[in-house]
Order: sequence, then structure tokens, then C-alpha cells
Amino acid sequence: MIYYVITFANTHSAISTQSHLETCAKITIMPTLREISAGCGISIRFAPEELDHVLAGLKTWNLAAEMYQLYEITEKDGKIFPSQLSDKALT
Amino acid sequence: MKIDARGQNCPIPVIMANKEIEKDTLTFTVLVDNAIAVENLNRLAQSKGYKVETKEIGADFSVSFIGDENSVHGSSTGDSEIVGTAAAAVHTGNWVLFMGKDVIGAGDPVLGGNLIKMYFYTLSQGDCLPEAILFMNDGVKLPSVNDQVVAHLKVLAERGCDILVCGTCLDFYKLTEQLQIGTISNMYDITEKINGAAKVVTL
Repeated sequence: MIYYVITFANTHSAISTQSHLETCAKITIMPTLREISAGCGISIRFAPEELDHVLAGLKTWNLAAEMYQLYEITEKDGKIFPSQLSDKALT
Repeated sequence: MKIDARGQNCPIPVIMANKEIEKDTLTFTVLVDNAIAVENLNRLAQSKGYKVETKEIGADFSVSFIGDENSVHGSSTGDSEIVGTAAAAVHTGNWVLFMGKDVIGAGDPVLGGNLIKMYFYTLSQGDCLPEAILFMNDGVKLPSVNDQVVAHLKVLAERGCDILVCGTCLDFYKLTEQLQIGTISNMYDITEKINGAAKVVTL
């Protein structure tokens, strides 16, 4: 299974971005994967077919690039493999 | 090998360190400028079988990861033991979850709403499920109008959790028609579930 996750530098950015993205894409709120961070909170998960909607939503949302990070997550045999996508994927 | 992660917010320092671990680097040092990053790096090291030495350098911290071939590769054995323990705990069933609110804790309602979504997300993916989830008062909004939580409750129901929703409360909030998952229940059934459980969890 493959899905995408956005992590945030802080909780406030996560909550405000979530409210914005909910208006343009189908997203799920989830705790940040332990494989990515042991301590930092809220992530946004979405299916590959939502990627275009989410990227369009992020473009209209003035969140500084360093405040969030996009990952492609592969789940295989009960294990999780996060792969960080470069900034170029976001433009 | 030195990684300068100063000025990087969580989770970036952990990701940078993890990249080194994935390259099978046995010894490296991460420079960070905050205590939270140090804590997260410590946890990462522990989970991957590395020893850690932390030094304060002025306002910054230097976190050295020290691994040896055996401990680092041995950590995968440790992981499978943990998975084994979790698998043994599949559906203990002898506890119930009581939701009297549609948020977790007291405080900011937006944060509380996010926390509850994340809780049900995590619960639905885990292996230790409650026998029943009981919804009362504001809690009845979760199985009726909270679409994300409804999706997780459907998974939990498929996996065997009994979902009981207070009919009096649904009626009070005029949500009876909007209930998407669960059985409309009453105080007798809900009290029986609470009395019969070894543990009742409220959030």
C-alpha cells in the first residue's frame, strides 16, 4: 500500500493547513509516524489520487516551505517505509 | 561524520540521522540546537541499536551515535520480538472505551478534535481492541457527524468492536437520523458493558 503524508514543523501549522486542505482534498488526520519522528504530532494523510488536489491546495496556502515536508509511505509486510519527496515534487 | 541540523525543526534532525543509519554508518554526530531534537535523536538511537553520547556546546548540542556491527544489526531481532508481543495481545477484548465527549481532554476544541481523530486512527490500526466503544452526551457526535472518526469506527466494527450509541443523547442533539455507525443503545446496555469490563478507558 502506498500513501502520502505531510508532516509539519509545529502543531499550529498542521491545524491551519488541515482546515485549508479539507476544502479542496480528501485528507485524513493521523499521528506522525514513529518511523519519521518520535515526538512531533499531527500529520495529514492522503491517497495518491488526491496528490494533485493537495499540491494545488498547498500552492494557494502561504505556508513557508520549511514548515512542512511531504513523504511517500510504502507499507509492506506490516512494515512502514517513508521516503521524503524533494521540494521539486511540490512545485 | 558530522551532520549539522542546527536551525532545523523537528522532525528534520531525526530524518537526517535516519538517513545515515540507512547508509549503515556506524558512528556519526548530529549537531542540534534544541532539547526536543536531542530527545528524539535519543529515541531513534535506542530503536536502532545505537549508543548515544550527548554534549552541550554553548547553546547547541552534539549527539553522537555509536553503533557496532552486532548491536545495530541485532536491533532487527529486537524489533521482531516487540512485534511478537504485540501480536500476542491481539484483541484482548476485556476493556471498553467510554466517550462522553467528541474531543480528547479539556482545552482547545480544535486541538482536541484533531487528537480524537488521531486516536481512533491509531486504535483502528492496532492489535489491542476494546470489546465495546460507548458513546454518550457530546460523544455521540463522533459516530454521527465526524466523517473521519466514522471511517475508523467502521474498521473497528468490522474487526469485532461493539459500538453502542446512547439513544437519549442522539435524540437530544437531534442526530438520530445522522448516525452512520453503531447501534442505538440505552443506559441498561451501556451500564452492563461498563460493569462487565476489566478496564474502562475514558479520554
